[in-house]
Amino acid sequence: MTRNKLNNILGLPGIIFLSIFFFTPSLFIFRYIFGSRTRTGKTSFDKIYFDSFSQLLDFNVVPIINKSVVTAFFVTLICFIVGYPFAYYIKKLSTTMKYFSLFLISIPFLTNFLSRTYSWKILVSKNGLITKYVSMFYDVSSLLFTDFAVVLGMVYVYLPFMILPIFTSLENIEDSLLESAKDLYANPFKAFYYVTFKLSLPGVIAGVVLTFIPSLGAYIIPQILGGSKSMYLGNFTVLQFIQASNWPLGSLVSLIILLFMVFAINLLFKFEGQRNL
Amino acid sequence: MNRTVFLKLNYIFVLIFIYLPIFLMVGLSFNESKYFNQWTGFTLQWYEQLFQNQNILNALYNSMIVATVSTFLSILFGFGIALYLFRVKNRFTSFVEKFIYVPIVIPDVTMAAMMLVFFIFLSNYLEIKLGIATTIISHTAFNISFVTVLIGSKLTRKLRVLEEVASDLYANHFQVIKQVTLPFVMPALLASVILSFVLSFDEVVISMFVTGPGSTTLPVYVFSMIKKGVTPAVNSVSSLMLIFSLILVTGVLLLSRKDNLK
Amino acid sequence: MTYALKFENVSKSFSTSDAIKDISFEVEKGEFFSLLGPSGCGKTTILRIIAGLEQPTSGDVYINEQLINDIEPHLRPVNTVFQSYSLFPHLTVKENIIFGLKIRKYDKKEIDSSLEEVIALIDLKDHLKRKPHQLSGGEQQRVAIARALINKPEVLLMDEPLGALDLKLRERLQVEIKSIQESTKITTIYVTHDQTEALAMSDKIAVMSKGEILQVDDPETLYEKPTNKFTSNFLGNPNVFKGVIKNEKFISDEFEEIAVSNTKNGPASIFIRPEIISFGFNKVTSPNVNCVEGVVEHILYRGSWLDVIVSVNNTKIEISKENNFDLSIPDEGEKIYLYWYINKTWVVFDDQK
Repeated sequence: MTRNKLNNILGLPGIIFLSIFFFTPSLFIFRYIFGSRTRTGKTSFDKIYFDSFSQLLDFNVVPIINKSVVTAFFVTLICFIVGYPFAYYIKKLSTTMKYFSLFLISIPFLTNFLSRTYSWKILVSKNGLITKYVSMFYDVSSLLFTDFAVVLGMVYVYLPFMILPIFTSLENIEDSLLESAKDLYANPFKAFYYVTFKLSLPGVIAGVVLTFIPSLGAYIIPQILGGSKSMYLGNFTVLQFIQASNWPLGSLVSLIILLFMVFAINLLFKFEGQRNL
Repeated sequence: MNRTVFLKLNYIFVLIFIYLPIFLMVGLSFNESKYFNQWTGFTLQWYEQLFQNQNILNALYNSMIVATVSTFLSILFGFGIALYLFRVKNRFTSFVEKFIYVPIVIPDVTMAAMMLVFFIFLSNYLEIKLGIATTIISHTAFNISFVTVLIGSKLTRKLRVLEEVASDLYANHFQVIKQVTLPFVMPALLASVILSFVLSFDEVVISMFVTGPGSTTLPVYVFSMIKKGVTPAVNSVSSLMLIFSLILVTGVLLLSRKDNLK
Repeated sequence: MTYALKFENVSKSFSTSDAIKDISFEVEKGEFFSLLGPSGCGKTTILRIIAGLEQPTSGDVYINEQLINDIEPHLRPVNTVFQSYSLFPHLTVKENIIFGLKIRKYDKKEIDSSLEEVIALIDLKDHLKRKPHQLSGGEQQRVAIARALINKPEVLLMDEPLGALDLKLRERLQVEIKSIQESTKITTIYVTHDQTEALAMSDKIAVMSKGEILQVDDPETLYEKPTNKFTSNFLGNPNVFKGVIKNEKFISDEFEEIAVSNTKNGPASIFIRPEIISFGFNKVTSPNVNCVEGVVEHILYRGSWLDVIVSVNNTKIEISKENNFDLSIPDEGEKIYLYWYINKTWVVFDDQK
């Protein structure tokens, strides 16, 4: 058997599988967007409809987009403010402590998402630890089902997504660079800003994208911590599919989430590209 | 405030922030009291009840089947694609190389929606029912990419040279794969087996869309329990799921560390 | 004449560098043949074509009179020692060495006796059970050589095998490789960019530049009678002057008349190697030598020899002298006379390639 034949036998089955079960389904979304919900909840395709687009306005989707974007923005900001110093600190630890800390951060990165979100629910529900603390200052009985709880929950779940890429880029900066900056009369703050921070920007951007995208499309966290009344893009989409049976609108909103993602990733590549010039 | 002190406090705060809720949840799963704000004593009763709950056992069974089969398929397909991309360089493969990232970064809600509309549309023409099979297919569709990328990161120039050495030393194509390629990527292969199992076992949103009645997976079932409130049953099943994935993930991290040291 | 390897008008084009153009050469059985040239000149490409790891775009390659163009790498009777050792990290030293025999399903007896044979040549007894990463660079390279040698290939290919080692070790292994080659009589193609290595080890050297072979000769001829500028420059560190040859005299901006032994006239460069120039404090007049007057500018003390840079007629001539007891070291700024044999002044005309 020739080498080429063997290579094709290795690669093509998986590629064919993905074409049928990933690429083709993604095309179906476009077809559904131009369908129309019938009274029975089924979708009709007898012609090209634009119902889903008009429903974006009728069903007040725009404020939901706004709210999702603002929430994702704050989640990303908080993750950055907390995550950057964390990554910076563990870079300077001894090798053993560094890898142990990384280990501690990597574990939640991959472990059961649902359990971790739920564990946070315990803290913010009525009489929960955090609720108790906050209620000493504000008059609240439960933080559960508030936007505050949603933001905290997302920060909780997505923080490792911010820390790990920042750490990686910080780790790649050579100490000699900082030393030479100091040698060239930069004060510690300037040395940090012009050398460390600028060189860690790729990690920061990766962290921002990795935090922003899942926050924007999150479904589980708003559902558990925000309750059914608090609408974000993710749970609005699910609502259209599972309860409202409005698949064209659901398809359109899920596509909007995807577009935000594509936009964010493009931004990432653009920054990377500029750096490499 | 002193800079170092601030960094240290932030470090401690983050670790507490991440681990306190988890420890609290696991602790509460052993609490005799039904109410989470009072500790009345240690018990294993919630776990005992868990293993008598037929719904949970069914869901666990479904999850195990889905995770096992989809892991098997994604390793088969994903490893194949990784080798293919490593050995063949042309316009098609450079397109595949980029496209392979899409299933990883696509928001789960979007992927769930598109798998659902796809299967329902097909069901108009074919004998297709939402159930275990559709869940396995959907999980495989996103796991393939993780496997390809993870193994692909180990298919380096160094391996290419070793493969050339082997063929220079009379090994044919199959012998090269068996004697050199496989041993070289073995740690990454094991890591991706565990990772795709964990990703499939923990997945909620896509499963929720494409499972049918009777084929609910464990996370989907637990999710419906969580929506109802904080209960000892959720505490215990949640703790179990967490510890299970924790053990597997620790395995992955140790494997990759060992691999890097080599 | 029987050849072990023959290239006939072989070309290989790449989008980047390392292409080769219309290469033809023959290697005799048992010969130590070096491909010498700067990086990117295509020497590794030739090696990879012999090994079957690259396909030539055009041309034919023969091993023992057999056309091997379409034979897959694992079926060719050649073995390679790669630049970066490239030992299998998951196998022990012994498993590495016997890899080629095991793959071809030799029985245990044959493997054991071959192993013993090769270990008699290359001392690795104490390392057989170790993993490659436990060995030093020099030891790893020995394993790589043993791993190729044990298969008794028709042609042994070596791709800068000593490139990653330090000078001392490199010199020791040069001797080792040379003596192994002499005792086994295995036809060897040796790729290197190190001219001293090529000169010391080879029976024949092919000098390459930009994908072409410029000259194939034994080391002595190559060094003393290069046929082209590139070779004369690449080997050694000669003093080069550009000018015109007229009536057995070299004339340039700096020199009025330097006698040469060529009768041809025309624009040319002369090459005077630093080690053929002698110096003294008195003018030497002899029909056999050229003598010029100069002022010592720098003396570079190199231990076993000295490099003296002498300023002559607004240009510089470098001479190098063995540091022995007879040598009287001049002072910087001192006036000295340089002289060398006329027939050692090597001329390459501009119309020579």
